[in-house]
Amino acid sequence: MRYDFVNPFVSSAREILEEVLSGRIDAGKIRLSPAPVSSRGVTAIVGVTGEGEGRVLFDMSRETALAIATEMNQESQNDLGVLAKDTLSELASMMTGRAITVLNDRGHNLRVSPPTLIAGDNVTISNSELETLVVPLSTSCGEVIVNVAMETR
Amino acid sequence: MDRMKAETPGLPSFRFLVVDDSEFARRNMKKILLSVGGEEAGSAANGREAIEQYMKLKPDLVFMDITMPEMEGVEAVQGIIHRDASAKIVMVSSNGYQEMIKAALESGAKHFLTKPVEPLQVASVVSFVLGEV
Repeated sequence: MRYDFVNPFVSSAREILEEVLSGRIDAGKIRLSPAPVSSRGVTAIVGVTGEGEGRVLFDMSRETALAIATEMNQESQNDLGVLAKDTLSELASMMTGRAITVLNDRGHNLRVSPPTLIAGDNVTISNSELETLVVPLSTSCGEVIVNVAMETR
Repeated sequence: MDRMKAETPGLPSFRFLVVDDSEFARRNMKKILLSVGGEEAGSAANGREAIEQYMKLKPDLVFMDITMPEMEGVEAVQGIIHRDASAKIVMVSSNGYQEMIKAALESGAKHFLTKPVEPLQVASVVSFVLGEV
């Protein structure tokens, strides 16, 4: 695990959530978790390539996803339609984009893929044998779990 | 506080084109630009559409995402500048590292904004790029 790569992804997620949502964002206890990851309902997945290789997941309940999409659009989103999904993908893109900005400006060379959004009950994500670091972020819309697995290529 | 409201005394009127593959990002940028006194000329979801729309609509300002399908933002800026050297284009991206900003400005963009964009920041950039400051 590249722990030096992990922290910017967590701190950037927290910063961006603070900027787009009202209220304070609190980070919960960090833990290590083996793959696979069980989704709470809605998961945005972003692949990382370049000097480090891995993936970042932002996992949340359907209710939290809709509350975030509603707040970011300043209009009610009652179902996970095109706009709500697009909003959550854009949020994931902003959170990972800021992280690689921090890392690349420190001299690293990383790229992120466009986010993939998965929605559904009882979804398990097991694309990796990488050790995963999990940080829950508590927001006014509910909990967003940041899940980072990263290794040197 | 209403995030979409910005106090922007003295901004000139301007017509804008928003280019982003994200519907959310297009809507959000459009709301902000309308709130600072802009008038929507049109929108596009990729670089190829952006060039077509620019030539058809001739907006005063273009707000261009970088990572898009079909044709990315930097290539689209080059395409627009090749056709109209006076085009005023602001890049807007989630990735704001130096190498990315350099590539955008070297392609002919006048300014660079990182997402999430804020109304006051956008108003300041509009004012700067339109040459009012």
